[in-house]
Amino acid sequence: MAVQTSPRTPTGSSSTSTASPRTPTGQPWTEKWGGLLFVAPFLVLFGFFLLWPTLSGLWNSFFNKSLAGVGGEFLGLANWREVFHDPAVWSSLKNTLVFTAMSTPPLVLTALVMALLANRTGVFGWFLRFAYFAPFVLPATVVTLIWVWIYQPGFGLVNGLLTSAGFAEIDWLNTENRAMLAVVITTVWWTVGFNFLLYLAALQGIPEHLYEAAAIDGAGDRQKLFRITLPLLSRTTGLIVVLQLVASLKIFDQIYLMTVGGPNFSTRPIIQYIYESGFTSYRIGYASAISYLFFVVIVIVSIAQFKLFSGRKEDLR
Amino acid sequence: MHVRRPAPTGVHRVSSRKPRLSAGAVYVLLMAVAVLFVGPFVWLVLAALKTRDEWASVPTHILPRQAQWENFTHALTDINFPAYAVNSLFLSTMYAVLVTASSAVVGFGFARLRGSGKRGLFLVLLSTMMLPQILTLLPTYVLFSRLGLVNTYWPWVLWGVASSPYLIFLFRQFFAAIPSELEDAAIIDGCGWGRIFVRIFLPLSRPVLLTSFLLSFVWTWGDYIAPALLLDVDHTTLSVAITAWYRDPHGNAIPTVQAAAAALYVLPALLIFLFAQRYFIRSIVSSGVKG
Repeated sequence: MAVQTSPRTPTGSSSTSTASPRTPTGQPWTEKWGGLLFVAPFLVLFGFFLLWPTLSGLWNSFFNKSLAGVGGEFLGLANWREVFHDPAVWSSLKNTLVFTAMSTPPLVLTALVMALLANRTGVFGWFLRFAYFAPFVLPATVVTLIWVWIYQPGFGLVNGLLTSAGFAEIDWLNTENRAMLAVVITTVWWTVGFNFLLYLAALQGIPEHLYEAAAIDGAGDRQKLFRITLPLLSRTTGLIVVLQLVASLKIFDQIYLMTVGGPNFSTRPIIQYIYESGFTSYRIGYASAISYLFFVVIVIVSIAQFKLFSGRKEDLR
Repeated sequence: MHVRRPAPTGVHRVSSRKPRLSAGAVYVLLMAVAVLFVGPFVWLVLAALKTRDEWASVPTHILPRQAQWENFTHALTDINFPAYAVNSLFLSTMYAVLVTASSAVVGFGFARLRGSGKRGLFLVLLSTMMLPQILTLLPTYVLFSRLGLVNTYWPWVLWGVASSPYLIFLFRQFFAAIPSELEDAAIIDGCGWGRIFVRIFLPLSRPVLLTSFLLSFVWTWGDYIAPALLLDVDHTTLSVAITAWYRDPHGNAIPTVQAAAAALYVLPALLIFLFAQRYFIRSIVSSGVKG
């Protein structure tokens, strides 16, 4: 994202300059500590809500710690050894990766196509933007309430339409190979609006004179799309892909509320397994160990991501 | 698929050889997609207007024979709906204001200020975005219960003041793209960073501020896990109240009343966006953010 030089340059600030309090030593103080002051809220967050839980998790992973806080004998690497030999860890990790692979492309591409089409639709523009974005503001509880009813065998909307069109009914959420697809469809409906809006804002910021110049040079619509629009959107695309991958890897809420990981664990994501190990089996130490394995996977995916996009311009200095 | 752009006046439009989508076809397509997106909302409202028998009838019953408005009355009176709505509103507004302010400040710090270790800190920040909330939830709960903050709204204050990695990232990206000539002039004039932030960066960042407020409000409004874990029956929010507490005497959930409650529950979030969105997109564009 780049910003046009705004006409609102701070011309007025010169008049107040004499009154501005400068530290006797001048710049060095702010140079050195001013930045830290600005970042202080993050440091609070980091220390309180992330560093402490994270470190206590690492500590716990070496103990036979239970939710109630009792027990807690030292286990050494036993939890870790168990993680690597637990088939449920690998199958749930696979489910998370499958969900990410199935949901990310439609969530990015659909958003792009919808934004390209909806850009410049005069009168109905506001309605389209609203319709596409509205699901995003719904909480997971309501989204799943609606979609479980839609997928319901017997009196659900989808099966009602299927049977009236003469097709066989499908018990979407209780059939392996169908349940994950159903969750992906729900997720695309729920969250694609956010990516759509980011694309739309980026599109509307592309200056018109570029297209006018291209038209004078005899460029057709196809050339304008591939030579102007898409290249100028590449930064936005990078941002959207990063955010989407992170969001998709964190899949838990929808699946837990729609299928509880079933049928036959075929949709259970890794976070649900961590949750079950911690909150249902009360094995905090073991749950922590799995969390760390998952964290490593996420870091690997994001490093690959950075490598992929660092080839382009400056993305993250 | 192409977007048809109005040909600039006086310039002959060179048509490409490939067949293009006409404006009419684009409209039809967009409207069809819009129907797909609005459909599930309609399904929810229809469920709220049915009788329980109609709701569960096979084959699927699409329209209620007679609108059952008393489902809404039940939704409002079977539980203390208004009180929970006030709780939700208070928590969401407070958190959204705090987290937007703190994230803007931190985003500015990361975008503009020099300091040793800033790069490392930013990488740490990015990696915390990858951490799912559910993983830190239990230790956080233990922390709050030791501090005696369970069943108070203080955790939301702390979360708000502590800023959000996601919003910091959003602000940082936005601020980093603002040309440095703007603040260079101010620095020469002896402006401090605080004043530069308030006078130059904040006025330019209205769209991001609004986006941040909207997103964080909606997160809190819809959050289920944190209030379920931290708040008791009297202090909890709508999200917890509507999912579990509409039951018939046999203890079964009453889906039609649940649907009515859910519709009422999501209405404020939808209205906020409906009112904010035109201003929202227009201001992103007018402030000159480009792709």
